[in-house]
Amino acid sequence: MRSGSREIPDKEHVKERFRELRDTGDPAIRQELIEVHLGLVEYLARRFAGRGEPLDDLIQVATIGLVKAVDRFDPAREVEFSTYATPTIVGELKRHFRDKGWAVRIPRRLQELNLRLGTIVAELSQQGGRSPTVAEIAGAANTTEEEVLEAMDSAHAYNLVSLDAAPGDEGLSLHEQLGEEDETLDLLEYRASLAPLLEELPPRERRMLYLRFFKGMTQSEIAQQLGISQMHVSRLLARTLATLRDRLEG
Amino acid sequence: MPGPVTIRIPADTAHVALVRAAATALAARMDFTFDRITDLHIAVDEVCSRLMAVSVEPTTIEVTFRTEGDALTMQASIDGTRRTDRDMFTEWSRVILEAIADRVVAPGGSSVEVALSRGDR
Repeated sequence: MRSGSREIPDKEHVKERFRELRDTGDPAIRQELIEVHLGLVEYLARRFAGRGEPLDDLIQVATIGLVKAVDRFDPAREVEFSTYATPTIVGELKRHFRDKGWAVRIPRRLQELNLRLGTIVAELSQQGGRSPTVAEIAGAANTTEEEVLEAMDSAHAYNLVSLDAAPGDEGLSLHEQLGEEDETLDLLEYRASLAPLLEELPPRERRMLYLRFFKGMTQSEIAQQLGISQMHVSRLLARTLATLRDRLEG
Repeated sequence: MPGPVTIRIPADTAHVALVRAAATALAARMDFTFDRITDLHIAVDEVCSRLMAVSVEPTTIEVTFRTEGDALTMQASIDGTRRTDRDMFTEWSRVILEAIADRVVAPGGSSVEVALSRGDR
């Protein structure tokens, strides 16, 4: 993982280099200007992390936005490059999410219902002390069971972890995320085929698998323990299992 | 659910969503909890992907759902030639299914049966 502690590029220097780039068209200067702003790219990409897209992908998308901004920026303007580039990069990131199909292909009512489901399921779980049934969810959402099922399906199909996403894993140490159960994870060691794959997973996903499949916790219980919604747990689990499946079969 | 419900799909990943949808609808009628429905999704994905993994040139997956008290049973099979170099379950898929299902059986050949209860309520 790239470090977040990049130096902030010197504004005057950047302006000067842009003028030179416009005068000479030197690809080396263009490259340099792109590279010194990768910190900005990473910073903006991180703001979109935790919505179901891997950070590396987001950084790539954001970099495309940066390149566009570098090519379009006019140093004669009274605006700093970073100010100019930010909306371009953010626009690129937003388009990426839009192109994932969520906004265009799922009817709006289902999108909205889907977003509400996370909260409704959490509230009902809390009130009832157990996971709610579809009938109960439909009742609370004031809609039909069919609609609830459709909304659940749309979540599955598009795999957008979306707005109830927990903050990214950054900032928490591995130990804080894994807690005391970390030690028990060592038990996995003897499962030779699995251990290396689990090692590669992000800590939160690994912990989720552990709690669900080795400790037998329900998805609601896991959601509570990790402080995210049950829907989020369910989507992350499905995605992680799919990833593991691909890798195991090679 | 009065009698068994059978769904037959082309043996490819894209169509597994249909089995998932059928399973979800049936489970909802049986008053499965949300937790258990999402577990059921995992079971469907796992079972279908294992069936496809152990069969050479399969064309069709057939899944039959039945009720068994509070549980939904899912009997799934695939055509094609059974690969002899692969087990029906990987170590990992067994871990997953055993954690989720109340019963997991691979009666031999290219079929699997799992049963999931509807969850505490």
